[in-house]
Amino acid sequence: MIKIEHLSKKFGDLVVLKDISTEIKTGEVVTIIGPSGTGKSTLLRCLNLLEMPSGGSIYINGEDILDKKTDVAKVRQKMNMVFQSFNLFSHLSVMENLTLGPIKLQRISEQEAQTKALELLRLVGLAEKADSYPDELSGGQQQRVAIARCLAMEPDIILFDEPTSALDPTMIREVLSVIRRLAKEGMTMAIVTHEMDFARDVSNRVLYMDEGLIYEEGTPEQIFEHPQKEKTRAFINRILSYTRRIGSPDYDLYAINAEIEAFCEKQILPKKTRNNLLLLVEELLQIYAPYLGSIVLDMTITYSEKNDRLELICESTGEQANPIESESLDNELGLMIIRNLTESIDYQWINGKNRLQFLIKK
Amino acid sequence: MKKTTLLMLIMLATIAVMAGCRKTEIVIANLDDAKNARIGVMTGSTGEALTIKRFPKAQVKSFDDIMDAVAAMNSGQLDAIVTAFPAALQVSKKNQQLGLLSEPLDYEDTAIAVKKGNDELLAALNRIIAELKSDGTLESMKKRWFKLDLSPYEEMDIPLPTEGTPLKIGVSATREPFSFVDQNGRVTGHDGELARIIGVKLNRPVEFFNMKFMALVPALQSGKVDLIVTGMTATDERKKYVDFTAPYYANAQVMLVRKNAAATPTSAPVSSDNEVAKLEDIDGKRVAVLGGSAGDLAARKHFPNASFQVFVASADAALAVKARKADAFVYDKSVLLNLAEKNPELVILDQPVDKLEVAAAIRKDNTALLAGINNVLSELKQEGMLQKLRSKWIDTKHTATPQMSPINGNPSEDVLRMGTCATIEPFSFQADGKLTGLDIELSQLIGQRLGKKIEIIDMNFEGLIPALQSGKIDFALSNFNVTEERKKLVLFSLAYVENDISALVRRLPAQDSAAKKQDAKLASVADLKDKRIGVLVGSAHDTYATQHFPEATILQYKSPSDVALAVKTGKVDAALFDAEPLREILRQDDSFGLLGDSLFTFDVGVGFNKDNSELRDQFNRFLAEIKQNGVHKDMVQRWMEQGDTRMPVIKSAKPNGVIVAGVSDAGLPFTAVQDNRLVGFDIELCERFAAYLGKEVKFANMDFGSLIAAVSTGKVDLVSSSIYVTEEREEQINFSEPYYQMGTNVFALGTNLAAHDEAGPNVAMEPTAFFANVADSFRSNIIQENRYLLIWDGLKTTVIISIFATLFGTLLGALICFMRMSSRTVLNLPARIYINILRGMPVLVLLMLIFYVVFASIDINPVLVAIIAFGMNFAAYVSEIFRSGIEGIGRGQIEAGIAMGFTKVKTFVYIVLPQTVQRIFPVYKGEFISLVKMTSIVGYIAVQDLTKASDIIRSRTFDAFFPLVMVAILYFVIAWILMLGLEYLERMTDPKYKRRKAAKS
Repeated sequence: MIKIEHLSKKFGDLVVLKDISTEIKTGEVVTIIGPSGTGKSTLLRCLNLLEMPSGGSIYINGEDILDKKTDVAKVRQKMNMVFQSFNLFSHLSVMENLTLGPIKLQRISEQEAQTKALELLRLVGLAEKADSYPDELSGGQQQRVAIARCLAMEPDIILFDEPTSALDPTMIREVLSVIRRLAKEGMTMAIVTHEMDFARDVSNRVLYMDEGLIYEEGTPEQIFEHPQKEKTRAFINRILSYTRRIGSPDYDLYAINAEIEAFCEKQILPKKTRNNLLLLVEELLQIYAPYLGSIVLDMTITYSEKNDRLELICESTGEQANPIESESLDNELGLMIIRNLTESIDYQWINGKNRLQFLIKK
Repeated sequence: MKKTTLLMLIMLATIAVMAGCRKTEIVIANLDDAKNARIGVMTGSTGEALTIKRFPKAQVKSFDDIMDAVAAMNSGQLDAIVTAFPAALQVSKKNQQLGLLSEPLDYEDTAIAVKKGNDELLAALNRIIAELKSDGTLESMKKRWFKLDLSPYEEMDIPLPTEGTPLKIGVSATREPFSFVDQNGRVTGHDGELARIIGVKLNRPVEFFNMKFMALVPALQSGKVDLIVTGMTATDERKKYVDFTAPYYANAQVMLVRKNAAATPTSAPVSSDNEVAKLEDIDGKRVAVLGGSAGDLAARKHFPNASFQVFVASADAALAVKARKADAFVYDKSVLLNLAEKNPELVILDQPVDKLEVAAAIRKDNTALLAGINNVLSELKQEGMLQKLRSKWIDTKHTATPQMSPINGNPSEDVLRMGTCATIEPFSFQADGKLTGLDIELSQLIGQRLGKKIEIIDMNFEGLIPALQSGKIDFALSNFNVTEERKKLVLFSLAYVENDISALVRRLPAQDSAAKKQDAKLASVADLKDKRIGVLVGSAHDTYATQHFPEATILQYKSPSDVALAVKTGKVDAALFDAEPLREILRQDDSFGLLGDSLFTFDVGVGFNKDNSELRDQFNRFLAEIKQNGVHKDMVQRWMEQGDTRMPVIKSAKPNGVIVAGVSDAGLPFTAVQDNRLVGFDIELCERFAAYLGKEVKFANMDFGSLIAAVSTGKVDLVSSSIYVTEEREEQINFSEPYYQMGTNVFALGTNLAAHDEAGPNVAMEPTAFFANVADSFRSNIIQENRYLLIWDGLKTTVIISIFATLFGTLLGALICFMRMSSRTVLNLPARIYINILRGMPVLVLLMLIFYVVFASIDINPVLVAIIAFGMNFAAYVSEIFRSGIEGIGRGQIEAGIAMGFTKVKTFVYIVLPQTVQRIFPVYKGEFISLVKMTSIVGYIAVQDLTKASDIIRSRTFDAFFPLVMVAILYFVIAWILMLGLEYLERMTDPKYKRRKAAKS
């Protein structure tokens, strides 16, 4: 139903969408996930031209909506949107919110519109609030009304722009259950969300967006269980990392230290942890020092928010050997420090590289 | 609750106390006292400039209207007010605690203003003014409008033409008695009448445009009005912008002060320093002279220590002496004789200052003309013509202007131009619209004898010699005195008149006021024999008094009110008056009392023209009839005995003809003006007679002294005004049978009568309670003369302007808002410019710009202009209010609408607009109320709104409190009602309200 080809969007000099090409078929539920600021909402808003694309084309049911001659308003009527901030019409009651569109745009009689509206309200469970005003409803209720309002126009596809991001956990559930129901009933939907579990449950297809592109897409299993690409993985596990390649003995320790400090600050890691990490890195680099001329060392610091795990991974080329094991007695002190700072140390020979994984004590 | 009431009480008390407080006030008895005083002046008037110049140390405050200044003076904020004489007179009449200083600050000419370059109209007006001057109309108008008492005005009934382009007359009708509005909202007053006369003479209907004084000149310049007739002074400053006609009234700037210690105009203690008893006294005093005249030279020669004031016309110089601005006027005795004749308080000193010859002046090199004129003069002298001329014009005391003898002879084509200054009676002056005088007659003789036609050019005296020298005129005859200095510049002919240069001074008061006190009380008529007695000029009392009290000083007055005033102010000790009208006067004013019994009785009859015996016979028949059928008795009962002043309605079957009755409002019960119509015994008599004849009666109200003349010259058909039948009169007119017997009594001020004292002291005015004052105030400001109608009209105007300006402004504001919010510069920029300009300009300036500049020559209803101006102003604010409302609507709502498929327009209409309107209501209401109040300035473009109505009322009653408070209340009421309307709208658009209502029901 929707075909997107080479869509791009710039805000001034900032390129948000580089090159998007995908399709949404009828009956599909497509969720779009990804880190903030990667253009998810922008993509969605381009679909109904709330944002005007800078390049590319969008075909809805074969119609090129970027064509000047297209009656966009008419197209939009069949494609409705649910917003993060609900955006109910505050001067109208719930019932009037639902009936405004049908009456004014679809020329349905008031009577009919009201009957339908009541039905929809029942569907979302808010029939008794028909005469209330939006400012009298809770967030979850408002969002459900918003969904009902969309449904009142009998759209072909509904776009959800982070529908639950403004809700607290208790209310998220009510909204999600409504959306689930819609999915079950076969409504075509495109949902931008941060609710991973929900996305996994409800979608036919998941798009992971990053770097202004559809970084990776696939079925929920594919994306959530076996993310292929690094960033996808990182995202799924909500892992954040810092990587540094050290290829020569003439590395800039101070620069590395500064970068590590920055990383820690970004993750808001406590000072103690940071100091430990810095010490660890310093010691390790001492240990690797003699070999740095002939090997390449990749150092990765990862922090998993989910598990609150701070890990340091050192992958080095060269002969298969555990750098720590083959330590001479000279660095007994260093080793002791390392051991004290870490909870566990793992060694693996993987992919032709020596891999040391340290879990840092908290 | 308690606290708030206590606070309110304290506030009220403070206000009341402050109202009663007075700051230190300066008492002003004469002009010099005002040096450091607080003086109020009228903005932009000549008085303002004068005051600032003369009293540089005084605090000068400007006011827009005199009643504002009066209010300030009454509340103690001013010590004096400087304004034009008529306005000051009016104020002093209505505010007994204020009076005028006798010494004016300056004299000024009141003239009509026309647009610069409109020479045709200017010439026409000058012609009309000259006519009105010479036929006495201006004089009579002056009398009728500049009265000293508060009796109602009689306006001449002037039928105006109804066809033709109307003459647009600009007035500022808040300056009584020049220009003010009567109870029907009609512009009236001296100038109102003058304007109508002009309309008649130019055969055009008139339309009055009433606006603030300062708006008049701009209105004239922009063509909104054709002329300004509103007591405007012809200042040099104004002459830069407009052209003025010849003056029609000699005005003065005078100072109004509080009367408590100040001098009242009549009983000022005379400072004997400035009195001149003999010639030597003049040296060191203030001497008035005519610039460049022989009197000027003589005075300067003989009185080196005097200070001199130079005038252009002898009448002005005389006035200066009269008003104590100068102490002596030195000029030709022949001219002074005339002035002394006309001003009994001035007298010529016996000893002349100098003797001079009068001759004709001729250009220095024109010896031929000199010879010719000298020949003629020698001839005339030999024939005795010169002597005849002199006795005709100079020596005899005459009351009417002598006629010039007609000249026979063939007027040739050769023209001799003669220059003269036609303001010097009896040599060269204007009478009956023509130039006349000794010099004029002499010029005719010269012309005849020389066989040339004389062309006379009238100019200022100082201009004569330059005109001679430049050849503009050939010779000059203008009471030229031969002086050494002049001989250097021009040639003089033989002298044709020898003249005395004398000094005209004020007559010294015969008795000291102190001496008067000793024998103050009058006990009987015999006591009058050496006192000052007041009588009506030309009346039978006049004759009687002159005959019976030869040693007394008889002072004659032109009208009964003048007589009464003279008694009241002490100018005379007693006065003779008709018994019946006297009763009325005594009834109204209890400061008078009768002295003795009736002196004599006379028959009163109606006067007819000697040739019209038929009419007289008809009247006698009519009189016999009404005496028989009791109507006469009933009339006497009603008018004389009961004092009933209601006029019965006398119906006449279809009148075929008009009969004109001359009357003089000598007062009730015979003839008086009440509620703008004539009432009285005589009036009823005339109306009945007219009905008897089957005709309509028209009344001509004039001075008593003119009645006889009027009927004997046929100007009126009969005169009826309690006229005594006397032998003298019977020589001139025929009388009907007497219709009444009238007695004459003497009356005087109660305090001067011995008998009156015993009757008890004059009861002082009770202190009126505050509420009685308020009730009184209410009556005079609102009920009297149906003034509430004025207010109602003003109210309607205010409401109309407010509502339409709001509608227009809201629509325009919406448009501007749309443009302002557009992203296209072609729309955005003009909108922003519009908003900034209109918000940065005061509304008054905008209003006047639109009226005087934009619609300059277009005839547009000023109410429409007001609506446009206020609408434009309102729009600028409304557009920004709209914008703030719209921008305050969350973006999300708009997005939701668009996402749903609404077009931008539909989104605006269904989603944005309803919310915007709801949001902006409070601010919109505030701006709306602001607009309603702003409309109070439309008076500047001659729209009569609520504020202007209050101005008009105030200018009549000089009340500050009532009209203002009332208008404030009315504005509040208007605003409140309109606000209620808006709030109703607000509620209707509030969705929740609908539901709350539904929930309640």
